[in-house]
Amino acid sequence: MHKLSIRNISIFITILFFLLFFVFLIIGTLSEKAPKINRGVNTIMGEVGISAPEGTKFALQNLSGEIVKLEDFNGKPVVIDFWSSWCGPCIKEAKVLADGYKEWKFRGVEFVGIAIWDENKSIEAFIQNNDIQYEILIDKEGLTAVNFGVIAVPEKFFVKSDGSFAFKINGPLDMKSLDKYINRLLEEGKE
Amino acid sequence: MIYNNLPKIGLIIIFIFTINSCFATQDYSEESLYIKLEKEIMCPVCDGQTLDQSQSLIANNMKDAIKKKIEEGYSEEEIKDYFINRYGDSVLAYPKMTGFNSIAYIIPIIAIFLGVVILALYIRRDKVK
Amino acid sequence: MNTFGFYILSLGFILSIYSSLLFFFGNYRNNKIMIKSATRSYYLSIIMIFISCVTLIALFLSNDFSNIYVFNHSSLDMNRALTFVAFYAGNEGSLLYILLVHAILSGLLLYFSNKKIKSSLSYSCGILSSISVFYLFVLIFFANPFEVSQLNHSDGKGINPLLRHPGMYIHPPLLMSGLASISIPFVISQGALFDSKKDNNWFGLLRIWSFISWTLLGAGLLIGAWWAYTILGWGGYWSWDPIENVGLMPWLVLTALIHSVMVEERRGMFRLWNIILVSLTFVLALLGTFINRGGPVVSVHSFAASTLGFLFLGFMIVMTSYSLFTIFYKYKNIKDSNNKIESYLSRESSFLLNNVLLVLTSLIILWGVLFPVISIIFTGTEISVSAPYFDKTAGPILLGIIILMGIGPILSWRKTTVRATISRILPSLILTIIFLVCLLILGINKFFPLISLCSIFFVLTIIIKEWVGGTKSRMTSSMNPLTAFSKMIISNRGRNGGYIVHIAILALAFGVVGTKFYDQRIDTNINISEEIAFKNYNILFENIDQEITNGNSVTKAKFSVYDEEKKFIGKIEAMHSYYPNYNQISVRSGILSNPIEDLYIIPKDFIDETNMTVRIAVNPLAWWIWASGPILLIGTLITLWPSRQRKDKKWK
Repeated sequence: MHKLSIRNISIFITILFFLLFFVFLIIGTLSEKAPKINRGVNTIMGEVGISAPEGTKFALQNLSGEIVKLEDFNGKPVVIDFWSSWCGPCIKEAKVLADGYKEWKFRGVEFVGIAIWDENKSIEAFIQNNDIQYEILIDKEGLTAVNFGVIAVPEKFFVKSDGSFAFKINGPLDMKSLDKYINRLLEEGKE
Repeated sequence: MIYNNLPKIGLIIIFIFTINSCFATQDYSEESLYIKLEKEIMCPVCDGQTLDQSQSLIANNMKDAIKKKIEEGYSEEEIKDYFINRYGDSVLAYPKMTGFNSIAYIIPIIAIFLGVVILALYIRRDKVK
Repeated sequence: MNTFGFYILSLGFILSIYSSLLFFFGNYRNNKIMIKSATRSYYLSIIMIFISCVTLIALFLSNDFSNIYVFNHSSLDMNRALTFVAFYAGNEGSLLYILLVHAILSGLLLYFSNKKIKSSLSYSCGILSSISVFYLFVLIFFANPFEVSQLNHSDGKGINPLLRHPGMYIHPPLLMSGLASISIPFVISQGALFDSKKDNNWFGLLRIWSFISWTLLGAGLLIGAWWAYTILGWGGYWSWDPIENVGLMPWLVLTALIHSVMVEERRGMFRLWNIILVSLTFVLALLGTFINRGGPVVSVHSFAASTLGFLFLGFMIVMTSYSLFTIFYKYKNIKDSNNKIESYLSRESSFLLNNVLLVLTSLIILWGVLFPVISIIFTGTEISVSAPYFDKTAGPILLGIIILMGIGPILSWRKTTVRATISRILPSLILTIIFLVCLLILGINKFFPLISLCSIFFVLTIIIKEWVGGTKSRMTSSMNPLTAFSKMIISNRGRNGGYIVHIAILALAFGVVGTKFYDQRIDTNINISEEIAFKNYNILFENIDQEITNGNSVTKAKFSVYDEEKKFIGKIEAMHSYYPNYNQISVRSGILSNPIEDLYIIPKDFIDETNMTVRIAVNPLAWWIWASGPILLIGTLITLWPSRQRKDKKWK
């Protein structure tokens, strides 16, 4: 009798163990896996959690060597875009941002592009080709990118006029979504 | 007599040396801190690789960031927190020993303990008296 | 040809179904004709599988890019020798390869063991052919390597650059063979469970086959580490990546098995425990296949990732439930001899402890691999479990196992006293203490390496003492020590082969300690004809060579290495190969190796024609890790070499 009960207990424990194990595996396999990022280009689209703590700032040189800071835009809502000239999605949305800025600057919205993992020459060509009028800054060492918790390009931070972060969008935008997000930024800024 | 005591003496010597070496000077230079951090922080875009294994763009920047933070006098914990604040908990290459994640360490200890105890009980039961 | 391959595969599928049904039914009815027919059809299905492999290779060789698999993994400019690698470079091909190994090994089992374990063999083969049926099912319905695309491609995509390395000819095939071969000991044990005649011959077979699997898997892992060391360009060789871990777990349990099987051989004990271990190994191997092909964890080895995860998960669940069921309901067919463990201090007990520790290590690694999934389910936060965790949890246990490795083999069977044991290890203990003092004087003062090095030294001295003693007792006046030594080795192949394998593991551990705790490195920018002093090396950057072969551009940096006194030591070549089709750079580090330390140069960036950034690293004792491979092989061969007339039923 004694022996039998030990046997039953061990059977029970083993079966329980394996059941739990399989349930884990099934749930784990079902749950969505984050899509992979391909050579620094963002493939996770849409809104993501803000990756930089409140109050994160930057101070970077532009192509002519002047230092531009986030505080310089104080009082205006800012869209910070991390990009690279070789990145496909960035190339795709370059026109959108350039044209969007031409409209939005009249309504007091500032754009800043921060180029990472890039060369001055190709940045210059990129600005010229797409007729970009907003400030483009160069993050040579990539430290600003790390400071903002960037993992790939393009990533955009929408900053309210008081300097706090509103939300963060990964992946390229089209005209419609750009307008939508900026309107949302302005809405949130009012509150 | 001496034959019997030798192993004890040996064990005591080993014990003293191990205790001694536990408190021996550990290398906390900037260089070794950098190497340690590089092995304990994950590259956020490469599946399951730590920074020292990865050559990806962001991983290289993060390595530079670590160097800079060490130069600025940040401590090991502060640098880790800096990255956790930006890249989430998964940037650390191991589960923290706090909260739910401490289970990751508790279970192995329990398992080893139980394993050895059950083994001892089994041998005792099986032993020919 | 594509349709031909597919039909052959389908034919193999039908034959396997037929043979597995007939094997089971024939075994149930004890009908010899049925079993004979099943055996023949199984041989035939093996031939079909072989033919379909040949067909796929022929498709590769004839550059038939209408085949999707060939299109994805080959190109016109590919070196023909790489066809072998391309064959298993993807999901479909690697499945076919695993199936081929499975088929060949089961053919061998069927052919050589027909007489030995007749009573249960047909049942074992039934399971073997069921496993074939599963793989063929997946291949035919979900991962057909003979799928034809509608488009007309004139050239293929080419093979992944990371795979263009000599290690790739050996590492994946060995590892996959190792994982596939585990099904052989598994079915042998299943046959034993179902054998009501309580035939004991199957145990010798189990011992041999599990040792073969162990060697295959171990060699596969070791060569994988070597590949990572030379090509992945980060200076390490083992990153505790989930895919590496799922290869390591069955290997650890197999290690436990090949020890406890020895207890069975000598004393007729632990039979059921051995069967549990085999089944656990088998389940872990299936888990490996599952995680490899679409499991829940992320890994850098995603070459074969596919959507087949659920199929493999299902197969694993079925096989696990099946083996649990058979163990619980058929264990009465397994009878131990009347021997019992007699003392805590005996060979049996030490083997049991070794078993428990190895199995627990393997389970702890499994726990670490799955912990990210558990964390997501319970807390919703994503975390990583990587090298630092496994170093902390599995590391100390592995060290404990190494210490046990010294004490275990010198304990006698049945029982021994503390006094006798201590007097046997006393010389080694004293030597180890002297060694410890030397290490401390040399300035090695970190806790973990100190303990590890002492344990390694301790075990080594014990083995040497055993050998010296054995040689002395054999040596007559007319004999020279070398012949006496070789005679001693041959006199007990199992034991001494085991010792040699232990020495290989010690060499491995020695190298791991060196590289883990004492690696040094600098990252630096260097100009041509500049000289850099690092540790006791002077490294002169000679020149950069650029050449274009097969459309891939290769940039080589050449270095000359001198020692402190400007004496020339050697040359190092480190290179980047850029593959435009893949937009991928493969880094080949330059290594100057000797038993004390490796000088390791990783080219990071070529800035321009005269300037580059490199990482220069010194990895102490790395040589010993790779040296353990040949030693392991020698030990394995000595152990497995068939000896004349093994006496069955030795135990009393």
